[in-house]
Amino acid sequence: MMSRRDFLKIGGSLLAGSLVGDHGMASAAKSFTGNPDRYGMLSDLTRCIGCRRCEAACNKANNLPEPKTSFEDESVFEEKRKPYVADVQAYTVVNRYYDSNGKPVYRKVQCMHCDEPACASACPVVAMKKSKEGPVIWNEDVCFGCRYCIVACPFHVPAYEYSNAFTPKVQKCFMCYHRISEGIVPACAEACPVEAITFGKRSELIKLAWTRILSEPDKYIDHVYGEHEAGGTGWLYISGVPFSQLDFPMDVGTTPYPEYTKDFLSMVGLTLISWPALFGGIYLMSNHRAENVQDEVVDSEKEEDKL
Amino acid sequence: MKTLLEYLTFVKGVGYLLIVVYLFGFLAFWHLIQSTKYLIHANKVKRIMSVAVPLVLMMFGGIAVIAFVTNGNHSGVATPTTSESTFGVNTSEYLPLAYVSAKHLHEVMKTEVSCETCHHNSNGEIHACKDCHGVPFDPHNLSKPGLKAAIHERCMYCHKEVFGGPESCKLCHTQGLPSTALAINAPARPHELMWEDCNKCHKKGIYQNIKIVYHDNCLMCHLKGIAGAAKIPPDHTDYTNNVNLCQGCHKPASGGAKA
Repeated sequence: MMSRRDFLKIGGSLLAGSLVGDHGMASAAKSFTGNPDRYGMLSDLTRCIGCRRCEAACNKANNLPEPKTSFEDESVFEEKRKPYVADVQAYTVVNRYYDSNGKPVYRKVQCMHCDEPACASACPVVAMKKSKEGPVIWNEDVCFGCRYCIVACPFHVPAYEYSNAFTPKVQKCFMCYHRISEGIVPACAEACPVEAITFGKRSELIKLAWTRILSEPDKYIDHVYGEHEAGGTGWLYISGVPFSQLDFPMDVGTTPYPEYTKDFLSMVGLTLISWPALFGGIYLMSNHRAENVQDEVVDSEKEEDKL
Repeated sequence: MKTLLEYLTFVKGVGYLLIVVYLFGFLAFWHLIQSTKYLIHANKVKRIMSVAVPLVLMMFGGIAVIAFVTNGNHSGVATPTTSESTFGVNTSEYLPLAYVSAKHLHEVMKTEVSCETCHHNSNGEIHACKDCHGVPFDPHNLSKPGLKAAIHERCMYCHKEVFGGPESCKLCHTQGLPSTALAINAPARPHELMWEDCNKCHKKGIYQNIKIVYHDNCLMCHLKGIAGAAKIPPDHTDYTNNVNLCQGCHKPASGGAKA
């Protein structure tokens, strides 16, 4: 029979275990540094000439449907496009803006490949995942189509193939993961005629970005977008025009998105384990006490009968 | 069942499976307690608890260990394994340049700018673009662009205004204009000649017709087989009438000039 002391022991050890476990997970998440050699991309908006070769190369490399108008068509710049919505079925699009002098500035839009992606954090089945190479990839075999990733993304990038009734996919740029894993440069970077997109290790790209900014301070604004945004992104931008004028989300903050939910979510698993045991124990305790009382009553009744 | 098992173990690892097993076990345990509620006996509870409590603790410990071991994978990027390999760039299709020949370009540019404006960063020496700008995204020197980008950037350096939008490409690159010239099936720089030795062959300056340069200089040795040079048939001089003779050095161009 379990005594009160035993119960407290077990309950205490469970509680202690849950606390230790929680602490372990939290510290592991906080010390996140990632693969130091992970790859990234640097978009230099002062170099981009808006030729849309990256769009064309992306379309070809990823076997995407043919666009309605050719990649030589300039009329697409009339509206600000988003990747993979409605009739724009592309992983990346280039939008045209104008600086204060009326000169065109082009911004390439695609997945930012966050270091700690909100989409991967929101995914209940780890279909979205930050690969060790750097791209945020999606596992078709695991995804069950909850679309939390689409809601979670602070950059509004992932999209769902609503037009596909039976095998819909979550669509976004995967930084040509299939090419990177074969040792080939992503298609857009390879196609860019002016290397406005530079492919390389993220750590090197940050150095390169700051080298360019510091060597030509008049040309660039003093900001590498993505170095700290949303806890750091794999895709970095440097520009001569303030990013707020180019529709970059400026309210994403510098906290990694998984950080917001981590404290709560790390407790869920432990709660699932410890609470049933804890309350099961309490139930047994109280139940047993009731039985004892019953036994005593029965005993006393027996004694009364004897008398 | 197999798919479910694979699914559970693939997605969250063995730890996840253990949690599921534990929960099912707890349900069974609970059911046991419930079913014996009215027959419960002190010994029975003792027996059940003596099995269940260590089981629970072992399970919990196991999960904690596995969670600790596999925790690194949950946070995304795992151990650094990517080697420092040079990334190869596939030959991408680009529209053939039908603007000017290299010779004409040099003739025009000479009147406009100094050589160093384009042949930059080489301490006044004149090197071919590809001597420095070989590999794009070189991991050891990311700041140096590849050949394609280098040439475009040099053009953009002055002609920034003509670069903008897909239409602007056609100013220089005209599509579908295959070259009819026969390319020379000989090394671009034979005998490991360096660019410092330009005037050894280009005796009349760099603007001399390349056809004449090749024929004058190559045939000087190769006609007679001087110093072990591969001998070209002596009637090579009759090449205007006998086209087949040309095939040794000349092969049909694949169409389009290389940048």
